[in-house]
Amino acid sequence: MSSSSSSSSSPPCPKKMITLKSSDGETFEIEEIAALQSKTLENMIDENCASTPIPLPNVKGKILAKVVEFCTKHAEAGADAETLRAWDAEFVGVEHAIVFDYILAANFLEIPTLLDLACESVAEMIKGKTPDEIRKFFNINNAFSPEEEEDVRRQNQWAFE
Amino acid sequence: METRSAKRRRLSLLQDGTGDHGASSGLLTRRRQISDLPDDVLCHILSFLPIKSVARTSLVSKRWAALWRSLPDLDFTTIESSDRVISAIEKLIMSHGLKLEFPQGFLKFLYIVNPEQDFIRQVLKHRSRSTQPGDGLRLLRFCAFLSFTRLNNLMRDAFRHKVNALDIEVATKDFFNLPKRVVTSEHLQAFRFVSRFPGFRLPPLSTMKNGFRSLRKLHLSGVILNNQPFLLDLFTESSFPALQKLSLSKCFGLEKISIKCGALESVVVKNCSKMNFLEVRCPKLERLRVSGCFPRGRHKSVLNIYAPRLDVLDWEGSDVPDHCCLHNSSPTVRVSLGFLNIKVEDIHEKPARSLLRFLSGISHARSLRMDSLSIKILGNMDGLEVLQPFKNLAHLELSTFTGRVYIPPLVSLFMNASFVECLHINLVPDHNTHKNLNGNSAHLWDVSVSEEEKQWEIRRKAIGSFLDHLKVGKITGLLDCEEEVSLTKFLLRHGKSLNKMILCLEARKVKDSTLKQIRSRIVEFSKAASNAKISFC
Repeated sequence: MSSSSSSSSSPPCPKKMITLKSSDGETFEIEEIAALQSKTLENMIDENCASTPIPLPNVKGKILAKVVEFCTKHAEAGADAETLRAWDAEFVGVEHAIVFDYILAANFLEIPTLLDLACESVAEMIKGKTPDEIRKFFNINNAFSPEEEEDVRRQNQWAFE
Repeated sequence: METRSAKRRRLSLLQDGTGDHGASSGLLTRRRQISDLPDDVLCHILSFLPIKSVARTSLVSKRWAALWRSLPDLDFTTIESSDRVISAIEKLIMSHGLKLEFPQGFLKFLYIVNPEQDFIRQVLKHRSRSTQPGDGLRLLRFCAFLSFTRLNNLMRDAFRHKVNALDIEVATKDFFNLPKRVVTSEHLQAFRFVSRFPGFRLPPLSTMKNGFRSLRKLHLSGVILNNQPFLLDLFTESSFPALQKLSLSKCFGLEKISIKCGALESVVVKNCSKMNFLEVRCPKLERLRVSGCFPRGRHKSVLNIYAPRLDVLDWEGSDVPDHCCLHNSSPTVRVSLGFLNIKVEDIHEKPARSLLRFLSGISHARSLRMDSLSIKILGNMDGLEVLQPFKNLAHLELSTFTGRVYIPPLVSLFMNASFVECLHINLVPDHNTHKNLNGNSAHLWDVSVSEEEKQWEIRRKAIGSFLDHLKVGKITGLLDCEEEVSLTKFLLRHGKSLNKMILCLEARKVKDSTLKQIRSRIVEFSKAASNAKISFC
């Protein structure tokens, strides 16, 4: 009853590729399965708008390249959680201006994994800093008048205890 | 979830980026600042911070102060509690003559006894009033030791902000009544309310029945029903029209409950230690879990389930109901059974009969998991009606004791489960007959045909169909029980369709060398299916 169980070796289906075009005209190819991590792209693929290169006017080439890299990495089968976490940490271990670009791209393309990863890394930058330190770190203008600032501090005194 | 106003802001930001290439090309080429991020994204970043940190960011700039005032989710459980709080709660509980059972559970508790300590109220007071639908307070979560008046005030403030989800755990000095406004709120979609101590009463039935119009999820724990132990008219077909998930836990004094809400998909009833009547008639129900209910007692216990879409039935830590009816369940249902512990002297016909009825009610199940107690009960089946065949059963998982006396009930099951593809047996040592391992069990595996094996061989024909269909076998708990290599041997010897046999040996009890010997001996057992793979875990 035992039959030799050799898997039939038919050629693998050619992976379907999608082309994306950045704001500055660069094109990038991404596997369909990786592209599905973006809800925006998933909707476009479902509606069959995905044959021509998809223009993404809000994402510049440098960032789109990294986004493609992220989605491709996360679509890989059999990656163990720890290695992936380490890879993710390295991915967002860049200057925070670039992390903001990742956030905007992930927000527009609706990629929850990238959005959460990048947002959490920014949260880590905020954690433990005083308001003054946060302002300096992120180059934020303090538009408060002294009275307004005093009001807000009083209202949230409990948070400083 | 994005609110409409946030979405408008996001789209306008995008349009700025795509439209006027002249003036705003700067937006795409200069370095990104955090101030470039739209409000909803900043809120998402803040959602990763504990609430005190978020409150502090309100001092960064006007914009950040405005963000704090309109933050959609307020989770006060991210504040670490002090020892002082835990000892205060401990004192309170001990003053009632009880013991503090789970001090860990009180780690997130705030201590709100004085107005100055009530910063939740302050935060809600300074919060911007929402002007557009969807901009209100999405979630308010806190755990606190506080008086009923304070709790009532906090809830009133939360409802003023049109809260969608309320998640509250409290410990109070005394019993109280659940505020009526909870029931009448139009915006409340999820309500989780746990009274750790001492408990609360529900509003009158007339109020409850017509309320909770938008509620999708409800979890109540610590409900006091001692004077009125019947919840038969509360969860009717017409009440709770949007309720999808219902979870009731620790309903003190609850004896009978009937659940018929039309939109329910999941029902959990836990630790209602007096409950002995459960009726569930829900056309959309997919998951039902009963745990720690149905005590052993003299009253006739009843379980009545009509749920044509039922996918999962979990019965845990509860006695076998005397009368059990499962109507028209879906053929894909997966059932898990774990009954209340029972003394050997108490096992007799009655629980066996009830169990048979229960099993016949789930005879269309696709997957069945039973604990060791079930087998014990079934062992007393002599002379009783036969088991109903499990025509759909593909996956069978059993915990069983070792010993010859348990072979007949196993055989009964196998006889009626002819199409099982995957069998998982977890061997449990029977403390009454368990002999101590003396670290030298290798010799037992030499015995060519043990008594147990003979018993299995006698019944081979009766379970022929079962043996023919079995594809995957998994046996755990070997080595704890010396006798049970007989079943492994038997399955290997006669399992014609067997693909895989996974054996989990209790390695810690034996020397490495002995383990190796045992493994090599097992691999040498005769196999009916020559390409069956044996693996160890």
